[in-house]
Amino acid sequence: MRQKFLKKIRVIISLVVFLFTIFIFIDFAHLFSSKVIHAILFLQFVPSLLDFVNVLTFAATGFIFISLITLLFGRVYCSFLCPLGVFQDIFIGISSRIRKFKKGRRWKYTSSRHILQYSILAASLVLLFLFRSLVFVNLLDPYSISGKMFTNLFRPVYYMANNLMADVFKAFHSYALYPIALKHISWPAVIFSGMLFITFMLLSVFRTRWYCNAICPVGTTLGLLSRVSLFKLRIDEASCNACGACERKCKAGCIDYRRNKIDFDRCVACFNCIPACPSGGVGYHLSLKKENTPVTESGKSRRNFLKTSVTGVAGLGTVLSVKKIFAANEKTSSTSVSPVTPPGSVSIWHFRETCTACHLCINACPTKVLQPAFLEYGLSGLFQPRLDYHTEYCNFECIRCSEVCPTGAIFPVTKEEKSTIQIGISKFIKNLCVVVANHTACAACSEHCPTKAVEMVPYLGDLKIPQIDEKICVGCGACEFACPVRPERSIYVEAHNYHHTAMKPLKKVEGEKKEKEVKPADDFPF
Amino acid sequence: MNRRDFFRRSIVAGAATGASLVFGDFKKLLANEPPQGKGPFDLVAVKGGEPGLMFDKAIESMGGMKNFVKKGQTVVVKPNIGWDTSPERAANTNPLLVKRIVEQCYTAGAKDVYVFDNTCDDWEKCYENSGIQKAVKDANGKVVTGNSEGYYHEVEIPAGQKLKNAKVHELVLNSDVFINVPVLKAHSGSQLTMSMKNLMGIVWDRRYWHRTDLHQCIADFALFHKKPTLNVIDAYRVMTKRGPKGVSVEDVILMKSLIISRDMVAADAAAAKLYGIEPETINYIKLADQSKAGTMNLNSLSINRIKL
Repeated sequence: MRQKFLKKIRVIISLVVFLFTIFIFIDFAHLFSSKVIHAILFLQFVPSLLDFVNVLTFAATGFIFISLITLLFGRVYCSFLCPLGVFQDIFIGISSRIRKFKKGRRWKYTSSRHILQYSILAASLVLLFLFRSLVFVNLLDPYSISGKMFTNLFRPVYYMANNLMADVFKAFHSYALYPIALKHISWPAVIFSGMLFITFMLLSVFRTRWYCNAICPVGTTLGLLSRVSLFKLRIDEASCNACGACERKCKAGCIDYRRNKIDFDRCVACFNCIPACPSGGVGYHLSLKKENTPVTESGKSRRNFLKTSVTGVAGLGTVLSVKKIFAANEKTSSTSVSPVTPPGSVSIWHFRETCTACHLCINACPTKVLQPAFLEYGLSGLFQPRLDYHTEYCNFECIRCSEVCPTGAIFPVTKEEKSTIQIGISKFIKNLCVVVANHTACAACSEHCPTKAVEMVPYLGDLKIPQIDEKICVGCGACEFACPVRPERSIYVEAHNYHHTAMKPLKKVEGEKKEKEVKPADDFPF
Repeated sequence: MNRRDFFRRSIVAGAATGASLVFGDFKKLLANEPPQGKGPFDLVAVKGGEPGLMFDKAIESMGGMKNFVKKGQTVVVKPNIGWDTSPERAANTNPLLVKRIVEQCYTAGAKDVYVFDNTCDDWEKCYENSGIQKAVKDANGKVVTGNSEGYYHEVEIPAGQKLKNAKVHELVLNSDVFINVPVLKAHSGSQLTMSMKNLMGIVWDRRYWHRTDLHQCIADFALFHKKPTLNVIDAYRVMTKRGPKGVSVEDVILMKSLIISRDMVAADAAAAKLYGIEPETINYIKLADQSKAGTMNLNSLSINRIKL
């Protein structure tokens, strides 16, 4: 067999894809257009699948491509494209290199964990289709896990490195680099991502690709497909001298050299076994006839287990999706009852059911108004992004998040469309306002309002207070952000669960409003 | 570098001020050239030209840019770049005017010309869509962010009534020449925004101003010792409705005017009149006049009026 080159190709491609993927999650200069970002993420399985279902677009057929590749060569996705897979491979590579000096690092065949992985896949699907909760996908999808780690851990480090460099530049009297502010640190998301980081680091060092074959719903799905792959890795019995080198190199623990078999549904297609074999006996072979794998004795109990676990998950789903979120009765004065979702997400329900909390939009957002929620969406929507008007406000002319969203949770909208999407409505709490409380002018809210839905109207003497025209308010949060009153702000945005359509502010000028006309004089008035 | 540099400079400046107070009269007797910036006029108003041309005429009648910028000096130009809108909407200073000023500074021998604003909307979008970033770069000026807190340093305004301290951008503190280039427009909070209001863009915590007493804070900050060397009020396109950001080009009229002066209060008073509002009805102008930050009495000034 001459397939040794496969491993090298895998290493190169996976690292290139990995680095590009990381970069789009941390890049503050927005070097890549949304088209490039979509190209980089085109083959990510879960976002592509969700996008296809939601938007029905040919631009989201990456998952079909991956399925076809899997039907041909097995789980190529897992070692070439999966960011979490490559993340683990890096730690596996480092740790095996370190241990090499002490003792030979060897892995051995492990039995499959089909019950666990099928239960989790089934639970994810049941939660998704029956209870419309993405919670298992959010928490288990390898792309979304990676996104959270990149955004909440790698990104701050990248920013800090930039800011250090900016300081160095400034020491030389140059403003060529400038510091970037994080503006807001969402600690629950950082801590959760840190836990993910440590978990996957430890898992990869001590259990190699355990996650991929025990938990990962994508791995399980592709594993099912790879059972019928056209080409499979096989140990050539004739050339095998039973040295066991392939088994020791197998990260997935799916090679049993004594029985001369490779459990191909668990193979992550890293191709480490191919160059490991001294006699070149491991490689791809056409696999047309059905394998005569012995039926395990646990076949029946497995089925039973599935039944019970589905019921259990159903119960969990009910708890997650019915009991939670909009407990409207707990409303405090200047906080929105439900979180504000980005323009293009149509409704809080659509958003919750489609967003896998990969956090790509959080980095893409130029103002950083998008921040990870914690429990604002309920348990089911853990860490899904929301518009945080205490950090920033949504730029009226910007549609960046809708351009980059890989799952269709935020539908693509044009600037024209966005200008009338009403994601919430400003509410004014008069007795908190500076003008009312101190009798001094302010108008910070009205200043920032892009549609002048917040307008200053006469109050006392020369003083003016804000008045809100709800018809033309888009809920961008500029007023809430700018309001100087603390701790409770005197103006805030109440989110719409279903986004409305606002009127265009232009119509108003021609209508009832009469302002003092300013005319350019011919002469100087002084 | 900056803080130390700033201290060093302020000590030198302080010493110079002290010296000029003591030896002021002698200096006047012995001087070969007029003191920096003192042209024949206190204020120049121009009407009827393009932004760049109007500035050329105005600065010429103030004795030329050489009167304000000396060879090898660093200059900071502070336009209004507060909003993510196009030049036609006049929420930001006209880019052609900013460009002309930067060019004039270099012609007068400036070493570096920096341009910044602490914007309201996202600064990168503001810089780009206002057209100012490109205009400045075309003139070889340097665009710097005003939205990084690390660039701001605490200063005191001892004479301020309600505003006693603020954090000010280091470019303003460290530069030899400070040119304030506001755009004249209607403002929902301060009635009109011009020179004094534009200085909110060189400080960090503006919410304090809004929370405390907007007009008094604007007037107090006009007493800050590092005053603009020159104020250039852009009234080429003037937003008369729904300011300060505006909603569309319908909010804007063409006024084709420009005012320059060393005195912020006088410049603002003249611009208010141009707009059709009596200066004393704008609270912060009145307060600044009272605290002697400048004068709003235009009759006491020598004004050059140029029609093109």
